[in-house]
Amino acid sequence: MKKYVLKRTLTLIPVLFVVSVAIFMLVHIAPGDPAAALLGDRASQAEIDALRERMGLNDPLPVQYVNWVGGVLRGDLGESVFMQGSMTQILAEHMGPTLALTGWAVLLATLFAVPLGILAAKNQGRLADHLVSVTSMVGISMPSFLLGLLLVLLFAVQLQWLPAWGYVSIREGGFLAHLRSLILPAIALGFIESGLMIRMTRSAMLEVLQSDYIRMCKAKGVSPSGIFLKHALRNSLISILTVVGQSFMVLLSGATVVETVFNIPGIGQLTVNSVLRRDYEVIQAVVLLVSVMNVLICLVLDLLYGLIDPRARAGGEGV
Amino acid sequence: MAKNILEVQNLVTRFKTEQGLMKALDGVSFHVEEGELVGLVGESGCGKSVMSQSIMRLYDEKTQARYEGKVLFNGRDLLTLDEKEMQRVRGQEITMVFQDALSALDPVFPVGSQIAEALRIHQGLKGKEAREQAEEMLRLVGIPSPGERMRSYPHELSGGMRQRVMIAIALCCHPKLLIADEPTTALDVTIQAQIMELIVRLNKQLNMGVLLITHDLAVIAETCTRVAVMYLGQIVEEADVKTLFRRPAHPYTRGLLRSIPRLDGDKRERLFVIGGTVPLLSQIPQGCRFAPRCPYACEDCGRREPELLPVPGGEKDHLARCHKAADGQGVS
Repeated sequence: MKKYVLKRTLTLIPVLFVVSVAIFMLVHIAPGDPAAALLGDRASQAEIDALRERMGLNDPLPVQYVNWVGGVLRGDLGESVFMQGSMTQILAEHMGPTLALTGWAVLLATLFAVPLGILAAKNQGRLADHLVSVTSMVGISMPSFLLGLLLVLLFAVQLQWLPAWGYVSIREGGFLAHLRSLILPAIALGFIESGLMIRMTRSAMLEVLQSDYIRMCKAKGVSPSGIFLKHALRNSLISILTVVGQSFMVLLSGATVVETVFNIPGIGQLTVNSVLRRDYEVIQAVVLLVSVMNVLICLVLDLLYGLIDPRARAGGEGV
Repeated sequence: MAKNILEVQNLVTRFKTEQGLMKALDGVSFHVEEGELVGLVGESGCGKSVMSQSIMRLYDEKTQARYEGKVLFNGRDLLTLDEKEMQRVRGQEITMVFQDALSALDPVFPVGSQIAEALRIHQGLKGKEAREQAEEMLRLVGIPSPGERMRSYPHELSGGMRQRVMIAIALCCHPKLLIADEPTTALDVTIQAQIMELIVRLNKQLNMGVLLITHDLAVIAETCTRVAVMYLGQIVEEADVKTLFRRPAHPYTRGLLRSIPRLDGDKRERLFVIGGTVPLLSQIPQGCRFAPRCPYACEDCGRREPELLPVPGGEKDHLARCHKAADGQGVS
C-alpha cells in the first residue's frame, strides 16, 4: 500500500507541470497586451509600460514562467491590480464559502442518493424502484437556480425559517448560523447532483448483484442483508466513490449559479466578476486553484480505490 | 442399500421472462445416495446448472423463478422451507462449487476471510477459531503454506488454487451433499485431474454425496458411479456408469459418446457431431424433444412425448426416455 501511495503521489508531478504551463499561457494567449487590457482604453503608453515592468512582462517567457511558478510554490500569487490586495488572501477569502457550500452539498447528496440507489436496486422493477427513478430524473432535469429560487420562496419568503441569501462563516456566527445560511443552497446544489448519484449507485449495485460471487455468497448461506451490506456494497463502492468525487469537482467549479442566486461570496462569484472586468490575473489564479484542487481530489479518489479494492493496489505495485 | 440423501421428484423450474413463464426444467426426478458420486451430463443450455441452482433455490423466487415438485433432502422438502431455514441448509448441508472461481470468489476480500465467513455463519465460530479452522481447510484441499495464502486475494492465486479455495469454502462446514457445477471446465488438463482427484478423495474421506455436473464424459467415466443425461430440461437417460458407456439406450447419449475424440481407430474418419443445436426454451418441439436432431426418429416420435422408463432387458435402474428403446427395438 505504501508503494501504491508513493507511486500515485509521484504521478502528480507531470500532471501539475502541464496544468501550470497551460494556465501560465492563458494570460499570454489572450489577445492584446495584458497590461493594456488591465488598464483600459484611456491609459497612456507610459502607464502601460510601467505596469508591464511591474508585472515582469518584459522578461522572456521561460523566465516569467519560472518566476511565476516560484511564487506559486511559495504561496505568493502576486497582487491584484483591481482588488488591491494579495491574491492569496483574496482567493482564501472566496474559497472558504465555496468549499463549505460544496462540502455540504456533496454530503447531503451522498446521504440522500446512496441509500435511495441501494433501495432501488434491491426492489428492481417494483414500485420503490420506479419512485426513486422519477426522483433522480427530476434531479437530473431541474436547473439548480430554479430549485434554489423555489426553496427560497418556500422556506425564506413564505415560512421565514431560513435566510434567503448571504453567507455566515463558522468563525463569525457559529456552526448553527453557518449551517442556516448554507442549507438552502446546499440542497439546491446537492439535489441536482444526487440524481446522477442515485442512478450510478443503482446500476453499480445491480451489476454486482448479478455477479457470480454474490450467487456464491447465497450458496454459502450468507443472509440477504449480509450479501447487500457487506459484499454488494463494498464491491459497488468504487463506482459510487467515483461519482461522488466527480460531483465534488463539478460543484467546486460550477457553483457559480447557485452562489449568485444566494449571494454567496465564493469562487464562482469571484470568477464571474473577474471575467466581467477582464482581470486576467485573478482568473489565472482561480483556474490554478481549482485545477490543483481537482488534481488533489483525483489523488484522494485513487488512494481510496486502493484501500477498497486490492486489484487497484496490485496495479500500482507492478505485480 | 444406502439411504437417499437427495431425492428430486418431478422438479419443474419456470423462469419469469418478458414473454411469460419459461419452463427450464420439466419434471426432473433423480436421487443421490449417501456418499455416492453421481454425474449429470448434457450440452450447454440443457438445464444442468438450472437444476443445481434450483436444488439450492438460488434463483430469487420473487423476481426470477418459480419451482414446483419436491426436493427431498434427508426426507425434508426444501421447496417448503422459508428463507431463514433455507439459509441454514445452504453452505452447511448442501454446498456448491462453481465453474469459474475467479468470478465466484469476492474480489475485495482475502480468501481466508471468505472461508471463515461460512464458518462464522454456520458453526458460530469466533475470529481466531474461525481463522484457524479456515487455515486447516486450506491445508486439507492441498494449498501450500496455507497461513500465508489466508491473506491472499483471489486475483493473486492461480486458477487451480482458486478452485481449491472454493472447494475449501464448500467443505468447511462438512456438508452432506456437494454440488460441483463444472468444477474443472475453466482449468487446464493437469490441474483438472488434480481437482477431480481431490473431489473424489474428499467424497470417500467425508462420505459426502456429490452431484457432479459436467459436459466432460471422460471425467464422468473415471469418477462417477451413476450418470444421468439431460436434454432440454429433462433427464433422457439414467444408468450406472458401466451400462451407460457400454450400452447407451438413448440416441442422444450415443451421440454424446460418439463425439468423444479417440486416439485409436480410423484417424481419417471425421469426428461425429450431433446435428443441430439445443433449441431455445421458447421453441421446445412437440413429442420427443430430441426428435428433430435424432437420426432414428420416426413419425410417432414427433407426436407422442416419451416417458422415462426402464430399458427392456437392460440392467436394473437403467432408464431411458425414448420410444424406440422402450419398444425393445433398440436404436443401434
